[in-house]
Amino acid sequence: MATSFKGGYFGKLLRVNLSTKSVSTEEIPDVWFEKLLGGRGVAAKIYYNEIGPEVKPFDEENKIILMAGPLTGLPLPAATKFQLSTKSPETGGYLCSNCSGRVGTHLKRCGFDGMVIEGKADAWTYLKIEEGEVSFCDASEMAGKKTSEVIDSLYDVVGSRKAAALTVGPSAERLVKISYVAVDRRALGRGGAGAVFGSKKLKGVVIRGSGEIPVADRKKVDEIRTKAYKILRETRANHTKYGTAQYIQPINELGCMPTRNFQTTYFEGGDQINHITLFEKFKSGNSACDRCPVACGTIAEVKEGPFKGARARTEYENIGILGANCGISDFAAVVAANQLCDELGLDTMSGGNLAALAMELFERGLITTNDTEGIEARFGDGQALLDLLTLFAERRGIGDLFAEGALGILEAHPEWKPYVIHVKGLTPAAYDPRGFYGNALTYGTSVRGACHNVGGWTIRAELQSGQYDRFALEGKGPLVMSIQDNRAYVDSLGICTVVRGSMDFSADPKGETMEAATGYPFTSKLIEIGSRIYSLERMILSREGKKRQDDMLPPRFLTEPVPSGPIKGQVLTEEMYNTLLDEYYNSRGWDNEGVVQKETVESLELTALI
Amino acid sequence: MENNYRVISVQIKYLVNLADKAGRLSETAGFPSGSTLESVQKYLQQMYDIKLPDPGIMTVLNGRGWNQHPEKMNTPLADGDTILLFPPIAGG
Repeated sequence: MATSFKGGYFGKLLRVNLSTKSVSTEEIPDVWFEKLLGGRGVAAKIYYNEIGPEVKPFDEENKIILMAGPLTGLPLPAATKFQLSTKSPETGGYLCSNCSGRVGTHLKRCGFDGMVIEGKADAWTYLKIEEGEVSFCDASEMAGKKTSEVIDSLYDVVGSRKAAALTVGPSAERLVKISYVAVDRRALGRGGAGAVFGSKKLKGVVIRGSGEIPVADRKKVDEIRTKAYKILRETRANHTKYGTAQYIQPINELGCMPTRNFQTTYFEGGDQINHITLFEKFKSGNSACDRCPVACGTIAEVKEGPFKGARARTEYENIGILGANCGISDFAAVVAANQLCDELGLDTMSGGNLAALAMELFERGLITTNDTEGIEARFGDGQALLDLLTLFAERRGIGDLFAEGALGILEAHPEWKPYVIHVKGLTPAAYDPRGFYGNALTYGTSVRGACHNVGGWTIRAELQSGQYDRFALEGKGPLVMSIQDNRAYVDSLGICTVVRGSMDFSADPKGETMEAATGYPFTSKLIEIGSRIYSLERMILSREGKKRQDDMLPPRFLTEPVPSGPIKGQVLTEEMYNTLLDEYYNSRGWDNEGVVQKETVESLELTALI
Repeated sequence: MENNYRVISVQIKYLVNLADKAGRLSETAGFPSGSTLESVQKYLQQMYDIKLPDPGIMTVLNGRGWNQHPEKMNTPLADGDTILLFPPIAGG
């Protein structure tokens, strides 16, 4: 037995080298789990140990780290999450990415907490992992194919639609730096991890295991599940009916909706792309993660018109970015663009944001039809959006430049800085930070760039808690830190954030889920662990050269007053943002360049881990 | 004799499942001058059985949470105010 935990863990890591076609296993020390839980936390530790600042995203030395959490695969609602960490092609730095699907579950059923994929194959390869046995398989017939086809082919390889499959689309094969990794019917969306697969000529991974995952107190876990199901059925009906599309209406009404490349914060066509349109005209079903009664995945299907037949799982972020941020009020076009990204291998969010950038550049006359292979790239044109996304995925015309992501675009055209909206190379989620100042800090200090999840989603606290005015500066530093730490531990557990409340995983964690799962008294330590993970990740960023200037927001957010909508005239200045940042660094125990201070390293008990 | 009675018009928007409860997406409701958010609270309970405050309903007056206004439910209403009601949101 590689671990002394009574459940949740195996203490075992699978290591696969594509260059040498070799496989090995090694023990994961219990202290890593005690201090960093699993999932995102332990993946960060492996990244810290093995991917140095000198490693470039497409180097042979870059690695793909997949880690399950202690709850992944256990009989609890939506206990399906796992983590991918790698060096991001899109940002050039640390990337952590959290996803549902069955990868983590099957890794554990094979007896592993995680796996590291290293090296580079010399020809297109997929990995078959069956009951822990690894095979290096020829993927030449899968190359060039769309993600849904390859996922189905991978399931066929092991003869089970309930296996776990990862693949990348044709864009990743062309090293398009905004390529995602398809996971069953879910996505490791952000940061361009798909292109790392492409650089390694790794077309996919299929995993099937049937072993038992140990649980310390199965009876207690069953009781917790029964209670959680009841809570979720009573409180998450809106998620079941509308999915996250239900946020379109409130976020737009609050004046926070990115519109036409973040030029304004209210989309006048919002009613045409909201949950009502989805539900009444497009919804064809739900999709659920294993053992989740919420089933928040909302499948939209286009039944008529030029995009007839398009079908995609729609989410708030995709609708906000491919819709409002591209000025598109035709929901059918949004569904079609979503599906196109999914199939070609593009991250819907970075793809949509860069299409919005292309539209703004075109309308300003900074690019022309000579650059776009004849596409009239105007806001509001659904077909133009699809055509631009295809250019990016195929590296045709200006798509070859846009395939390099925001940083690549800026390197070639520094004069476009006013229009390229990003932090650390990652384009933002579907919330304009001028609408909620905590969210500004979220984007700035997220360890992977302008991300609302990793960075800490503040909007509810800024509206409902009664403690924080959305446009106030004071208090936002500790608020963002608290939500980030909260998220860091949840990302390391292996459960979905939508269901965590049903098991008392909050900013003040309670309950006995962790004790029942692992037999170890984790619950009272979770926030401290989250804080430890976040500072460890920041140490990685510092090692990669990131400083205060890299936490700054793009000029549009710090110089342009909101020109229209409910918060017309609202301004967030650089001076105000620096005030936010100072308070945040101080809360964290980081210095004014964002470097984790020695005392903080010691107080978080990171010394033994680095 | 001068009549000081004046009606304040407040727009109330019912978002997501609140529209199902109210049976409408929005309305302009009139309240006597001097009314506060508490008047809206009573109106919503009487008309639609929507009870405020409720942690399951986000109540936003002119872009800010009801409890962010210093006088909370005693916040005076003004003509042209907008109130949004929607379920808690949690990031997409």
